[in-house]
Amino acid sequence: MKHLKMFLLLCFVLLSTLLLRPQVVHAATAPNILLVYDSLNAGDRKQNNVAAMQRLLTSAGATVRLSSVSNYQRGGLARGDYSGLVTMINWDDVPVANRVFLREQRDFTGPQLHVGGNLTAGEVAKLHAHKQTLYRRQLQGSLPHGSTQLLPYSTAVNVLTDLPAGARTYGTLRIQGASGTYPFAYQYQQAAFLPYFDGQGLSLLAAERLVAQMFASQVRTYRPLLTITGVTPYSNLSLLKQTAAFLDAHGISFAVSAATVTNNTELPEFARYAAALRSVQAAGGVVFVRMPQVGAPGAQSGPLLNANMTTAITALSQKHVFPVGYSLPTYLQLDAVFKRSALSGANTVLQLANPALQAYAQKSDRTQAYKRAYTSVSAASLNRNKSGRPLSARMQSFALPTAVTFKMPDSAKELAGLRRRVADFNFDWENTAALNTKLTVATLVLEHRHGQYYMNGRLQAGNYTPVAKPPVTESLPSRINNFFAIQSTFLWIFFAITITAMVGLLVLGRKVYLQMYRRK
Amino acid sequence: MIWLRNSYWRGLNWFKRHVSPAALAVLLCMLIAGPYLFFAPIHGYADNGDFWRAIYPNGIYPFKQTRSGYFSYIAPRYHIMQYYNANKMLVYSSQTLFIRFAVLLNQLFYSKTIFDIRFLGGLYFALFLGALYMLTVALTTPQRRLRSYLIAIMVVVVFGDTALMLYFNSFFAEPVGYIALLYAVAAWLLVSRKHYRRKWPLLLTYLLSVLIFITSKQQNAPIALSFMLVTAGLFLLPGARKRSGLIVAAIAVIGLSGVVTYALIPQSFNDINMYQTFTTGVLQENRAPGKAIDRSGIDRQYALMRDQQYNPPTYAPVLPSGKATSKHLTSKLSMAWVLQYYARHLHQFVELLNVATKNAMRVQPTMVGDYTRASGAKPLQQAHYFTASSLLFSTFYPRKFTFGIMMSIALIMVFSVGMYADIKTGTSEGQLRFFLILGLLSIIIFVPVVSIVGDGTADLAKHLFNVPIAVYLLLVIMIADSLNGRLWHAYREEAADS
Repeated sequence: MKHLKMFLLLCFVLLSTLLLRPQVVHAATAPNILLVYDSLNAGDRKQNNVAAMQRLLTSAGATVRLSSVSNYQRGGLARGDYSGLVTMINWDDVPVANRVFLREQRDFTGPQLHVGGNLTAGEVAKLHAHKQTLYRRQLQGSLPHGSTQLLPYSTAVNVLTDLPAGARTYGTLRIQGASGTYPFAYQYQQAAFLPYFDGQGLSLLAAERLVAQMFASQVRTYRPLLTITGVTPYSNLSLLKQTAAFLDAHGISFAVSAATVTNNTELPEFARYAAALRSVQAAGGVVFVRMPQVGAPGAQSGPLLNANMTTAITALSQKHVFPVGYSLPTYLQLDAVFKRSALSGANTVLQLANPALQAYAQKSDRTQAYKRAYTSVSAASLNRNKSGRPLSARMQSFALPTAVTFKMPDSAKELAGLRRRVADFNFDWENTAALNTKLTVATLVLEHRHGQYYMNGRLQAGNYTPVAKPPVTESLPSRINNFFAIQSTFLWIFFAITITAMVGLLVLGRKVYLQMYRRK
Repeated sequence: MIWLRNSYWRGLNWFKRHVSPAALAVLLCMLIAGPYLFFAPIHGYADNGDFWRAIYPNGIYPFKQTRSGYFSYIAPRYHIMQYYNANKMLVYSSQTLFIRFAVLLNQLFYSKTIFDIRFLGGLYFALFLGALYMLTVALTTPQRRLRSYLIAIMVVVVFGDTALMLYFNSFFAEPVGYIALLYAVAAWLLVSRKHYRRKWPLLLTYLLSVLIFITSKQQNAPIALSFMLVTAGLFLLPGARKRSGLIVAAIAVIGLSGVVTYALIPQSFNDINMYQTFTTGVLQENRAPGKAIDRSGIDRQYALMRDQQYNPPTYAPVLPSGKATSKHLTSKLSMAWVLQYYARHLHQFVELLNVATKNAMRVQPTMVGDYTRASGAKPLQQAHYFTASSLLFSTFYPRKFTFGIMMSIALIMVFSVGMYADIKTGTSEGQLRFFLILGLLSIIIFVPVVSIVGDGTADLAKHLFNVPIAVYLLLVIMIADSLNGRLWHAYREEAADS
């Protein structure tokens, strides 16, 4: 009887553990947005537009699935896999022909943004306005607070007229030399339209506004982050220190995108580099570690990448350089190896522009989300408008976290140019002390809060004192080496004498031998 | 028991009359290496990433494989390009002739669309057997005693080593140099030993082989100097005074081929070589590389590039082909800079030479596999079929560079006795042989120096390929000649019986 009771109790306990599952709390998942483009149009050099849009969506806190129209997998939009849709038309000459995609796009009820030309009837219906095509025009765009930019000459541009009451617009488009304005960025309920986007200047600001309104969890303005890119261990370190001192003197806090080495960290040159980065930190700068360049590592190189980043970050933090996040070119956001083995440790990233050569470890088609992802725009490109005041002349309102990048100067002349250009910018730069970041590699957790750095929870204040190298002791092997060195010298001398003696004896012996046969 | 002994001697005499030592060597090599190379599953060397230079300009391209697949297993078949070949020749090498001929044979006898690598292997192997035959004849002429057959077996064991044979079933340029070197040495020895009545076919073979050898790989360009030295020995042949113009012309042609091979190195390879000389040579074996390069005019931070390769295999902090690196580093590097750096840091240079010597005897490349995927072997598996000789040499050859210098002094002393004796008696055999020995010794001494200065310690085993071949040749010549009694003087009937 006693055993039966125990048995029943055991069964009850087992069953209850199977049936009563603990409540799993799901963290709020990031919105998943499908970015569809018709063509990269590398022939017209428009391949960077898609990357720029991908950057904006990641800055809005979303994960992006990238797909060309021809590769669109049927049923994705219909099933509800995506919470948003962005359609980019890069090549106006050929309209989209994928009927499946067009149908699903028309039936999609979530927020959707159309960038570029070739607006379909379904999209126009959702926008609740009338589409008008302007042929062979030069348009001038302007934003509310007075910045204007002349857009490139275009053969055909779609604009909207007869706007309904609840529409929200940002910026205007005006035909040069004619009256009448059209909205630049336009949103009506769940649909939005941006007629022109090239990832820089006015169109970038307008696109940021639209993306933030449509897809971000909250809409606020961000101050731009001044960023120096292209810092490597081989850069001119004194110029780096001078740049940091200059920015500190003007009260500008900034960020630096710095590459670092994973081996040779015991050399004194690495200590010099770390010292330069420490002076950057002391001047109010934060350090983003740049992801390494990709050779041909293969899809199995995840552990190697992980080990590399761990070694690199650990070596830096041992010298009191505490990175706040990673910086990487936009295309690497899609790399599965990088996502898995490196990027998942950071909650703050800086997305740089794509280089000409894009090598992947393992190409995938979706990105992952971060707490804060900066989209970068080069300082030079912000001021590329041919007429009107440059965008740097007055503070712009950025709707997404944006980094304005300057190249690391390579000579005194370039440093002077950098100083001049920074002085021209009338921006209210972001205060990096307010950044809250967390970077995890293996067992090392680096945090930045209120301008202070924390390593594994401990505040890292105070000066850095380099660890003294242990004195080199006269070790036993070197004594044995001395013995062999003496022995080999002795052998050399011995053999030299012996060989000389042998040669002498040979000569003598030959004389004697010949004399044996001489006629007496 | 007497009938047993008689039949033994009768059998032996029959054997000696019908099978020459050279024929025995060829037969043995065919039986040992032939099936291993050509019967399925075949063996060879897999692609280490450099095959594209040899195959694309010649109209061949590989089957699609995953990136990690191509080091691990050899690809026995390739596609042949059917239409326009847009690939320009990047590297000019005599290997092209062999590949094109093999493709031609393939198209005649097998298929016009699929290239089987056994045609290239077969072509190399047939030529190799010819060289083996000539070399054995040169070493055993004119007698056929038991020792001659032992010499033949030694030649097969040393030169028919599988680690060398496996190069035939691959697109490396090493087998071309190997076969050409064997032909050159064999022809030279045959000329010196007056085995054939007419000299000019042998001398022509010698000249052609030397030219093919020098043009087979770009790093063989400096070896042109060694062969110019060897060819100068032709002045010692009787009747050389009449033909001195031809001999000078031959020396000039050899020198010119070296110059042309060096000049045809593409600029991009030059950048790679200069960069790797810096990162795997100048920065190595030095406790404070930053300060050392700073004194020679390069920013000390570049010491952090130690051990980087120009085309990083996995990840790298910066790509060396970028603008900043080429402005501050690569443009400042040159052969002159490297030489003046090593002149200032001789101790480091000697240490690097010791590193080179440690790797010199490794003939079998360990970073590629030797089996096909179909054979079921593990990826990157190494073959050890008939590799006793190369294993012995790589294990026991001393690992200090100064050993090479001491061995050179010893061998020069040994062979100069023979040369002196022959000067006195008026025969040219020992004199010509001495020049050959000088040439081979200069390969052993100077190839590591040129490799370290030209490309650092990167890819050492491939650059030093000619060093073990020269060592094998030297030792085989010395052992064969001492067995035949012609080490201290030219061949004499009565001396051979000792």
